[in-house]
Amino acid sequence: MSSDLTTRIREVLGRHAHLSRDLTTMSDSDDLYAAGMTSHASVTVMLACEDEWDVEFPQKMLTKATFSSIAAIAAAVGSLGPASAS
Amino acid sequence: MPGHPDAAIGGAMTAAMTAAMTAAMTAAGGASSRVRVGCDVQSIDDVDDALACFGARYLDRVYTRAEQADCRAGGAASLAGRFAAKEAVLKLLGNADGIDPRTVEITTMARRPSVRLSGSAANLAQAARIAAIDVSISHDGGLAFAVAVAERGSPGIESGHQPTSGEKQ
Repeated sequence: MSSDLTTRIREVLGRHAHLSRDLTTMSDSDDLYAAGMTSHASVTVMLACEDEWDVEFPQKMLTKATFSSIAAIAAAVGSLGPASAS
Repeated sequence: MPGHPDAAIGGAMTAAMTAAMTAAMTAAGGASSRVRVGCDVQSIDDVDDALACFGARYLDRVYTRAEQADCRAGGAASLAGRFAAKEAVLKLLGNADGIDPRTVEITTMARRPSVRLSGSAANLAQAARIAAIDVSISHDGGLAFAVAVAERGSPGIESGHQPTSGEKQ
């Protein structure tokens, strides 16, 4: 997992996740839902990730687990194969 | 939505939400296993932001064509109400993680919200022997709030929903 990828995910989360915790104090493995991310926010984070990496999340990946942490989002984006996520 | 920034805005609605849930549970017979209840709250501003950022992509990933048509006049507030109702229904159905939100369609019938399930949501309802779900939606203080109530029927009860392998668009 590259630091560039997680940095960009943090920027996406900063714009769309509406967290109640300061993102800079959270580790890549911290639970985003426990930090206040709602189901609706996970939809907008998904759409923002699609824009950021020019990918499309298939329906089977639209689960709570996929967006549960920065590390989980990075793994999901990486699995979709955008060159810019490597 | 514990800890969410909108929790402060929603504080004023807490009493109304509690009263609505209590009334729903009382009317439905308390904690009877025959009754299922779900509820959800949604920030209208967050829906407005999603519309501004993602437009039709957001609408098409979350709402059916019929829902989009119903909400054309009401805008973000109406969409937030639909989203809260979808989430309330999914909570009522139980293990709904990963369910396409478009398989829970909330439309207006005779000036009341009406629930129509399809695909995987309908399959969940059928497995739980839920034939019909009623929802109520309210808006206040920048939030939309929805309660869904259903009574479980006997095995083999005829369902008004449409279990299919495909997802409703």
